[in-house]
Amino acid sequence: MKKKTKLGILGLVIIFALFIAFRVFYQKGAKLLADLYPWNYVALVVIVALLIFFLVRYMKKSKNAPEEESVAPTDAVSGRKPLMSSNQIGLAAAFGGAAFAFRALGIAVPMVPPLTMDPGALMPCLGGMCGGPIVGIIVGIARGIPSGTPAVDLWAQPIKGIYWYFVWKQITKIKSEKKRWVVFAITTFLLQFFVEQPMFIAGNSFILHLYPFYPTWPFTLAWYSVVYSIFQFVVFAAIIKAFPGLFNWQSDKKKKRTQSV
Amino acid sequence: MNSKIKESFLYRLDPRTKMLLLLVFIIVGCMIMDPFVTLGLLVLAYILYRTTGFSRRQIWGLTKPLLLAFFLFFILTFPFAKPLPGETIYFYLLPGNHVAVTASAVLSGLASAIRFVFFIWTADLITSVTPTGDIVLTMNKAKMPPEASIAIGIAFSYIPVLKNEIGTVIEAQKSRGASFESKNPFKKIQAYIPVIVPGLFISIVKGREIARAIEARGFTYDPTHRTYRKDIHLVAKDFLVMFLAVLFAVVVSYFHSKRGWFGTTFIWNLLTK
Repeated sequence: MKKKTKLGILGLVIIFALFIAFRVFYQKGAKLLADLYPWNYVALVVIVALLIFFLVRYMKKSKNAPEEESVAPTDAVSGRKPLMSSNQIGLAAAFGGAAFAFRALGIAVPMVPPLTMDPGALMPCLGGMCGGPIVGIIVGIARGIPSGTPAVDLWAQPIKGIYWYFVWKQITKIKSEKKRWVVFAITTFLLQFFVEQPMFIAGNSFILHLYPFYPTWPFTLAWYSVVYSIFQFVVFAAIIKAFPGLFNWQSDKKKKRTQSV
Repeated sequence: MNSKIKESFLYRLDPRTKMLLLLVFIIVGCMIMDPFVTLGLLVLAYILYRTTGFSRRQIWGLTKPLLLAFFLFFILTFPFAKPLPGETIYFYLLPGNHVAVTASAVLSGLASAIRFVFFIWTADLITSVTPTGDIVLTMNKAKMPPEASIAIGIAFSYIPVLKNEIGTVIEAQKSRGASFESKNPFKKIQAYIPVIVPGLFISIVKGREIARAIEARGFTYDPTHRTYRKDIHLVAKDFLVMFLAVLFAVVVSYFHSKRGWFGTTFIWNLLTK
């Protein structure tokens, strides 16, 4: 297995482990959620099982496949490896611009302030999915600078871009398109439930002291996660359908057609 | 942006000084829990707005959408604040001695709500008086890779173009009978999907055009030694503002950590005891 893939999987495991530890730690102090959300642990087991499954599968695969030689382009003058290609710069600029344009046009549905259904907040995820972690980080920064709460958005938005890159990389490796859609939908919900929502609420409560972590977090947990995940999934799915190549999404239809030819 | 803003003291400051100011505002805002002192910070932000050349109408335009959030922040904070030891409980909101109404609870709710408005105001003020090009230059000076700073710079300068394009999509959907006026959030989300998807489609197409333009201009040939038409320099007034800002943060931090000042009931205690 490639070093990058190993690091990616390790990073994903660390992110989930940190957030679970974070949740369990806070549940000890506040009894609001005690025995109420057993699916947290069920979801954790599913995530860890999936990660182990992928890890074992890729380890087997990499043993059989010959090592690829990586040819990285370098800067013609300084010899430095460019951070991004022109295509990635274009994508970062497009998603970064769109992130703010949606907000400027008022296309956001307020839920529990400052939690809003803002399509601009999906841009770092989309940037990470199609352009890689650096694009995700840059779109996240571009989204965080004009935000009303940059102290949280400037670090939390890029994080979204990073983990979506790693997650997306694994999702696109699933061969069956139906399975891929299902995994994608479940992952969108799990990431919203476990990572994004606690991360933003924690940032707003511990850094900016805008509201207490409890009870805001459990109060917004179930309904907001579900509604936002559906919104997120619908937008993601529509964009992926429109630009399958950009998101490395392989359709079964094409495969069937090529097989019949 | 009107010429008065462009001629203002804040606008003419080096972008690094403005970024430091924003950072100081955030740090100080996070340290102060007292609603009266936070209100003082809000007044300071208002004075900065007005002296920079923003009209009352512009400030109201920014503040009006925050009023609902202001109320909700208060509601989210005040019922859950525990009464301080020995504090007088005025009454209970719910039967069975639930949700005690105390001075500290009300003050903490107010502090959260005012703080939220303060953060939005300061972030808006600083970003409004900092041109996009200056943000890119600041990032370069901060040793950020040029590819990243250019991408962010293009993103910001592309906002009006995308706004127009997405605005056209909205008009097109409206002409087809789409309504975005519903107060039901679920209906609103449903109505926005046919705008978001083509809007993103346009953005990606524009992104590809940007990529071609970047390639045609040879940006990727040597981005590290790229030169810029404008250069930024710190002058005496920048150093003075930076010094004052840092001093302000240090003083607040000292009194906050060493003397325990600026707690939720700091001014309230001074007034009542």
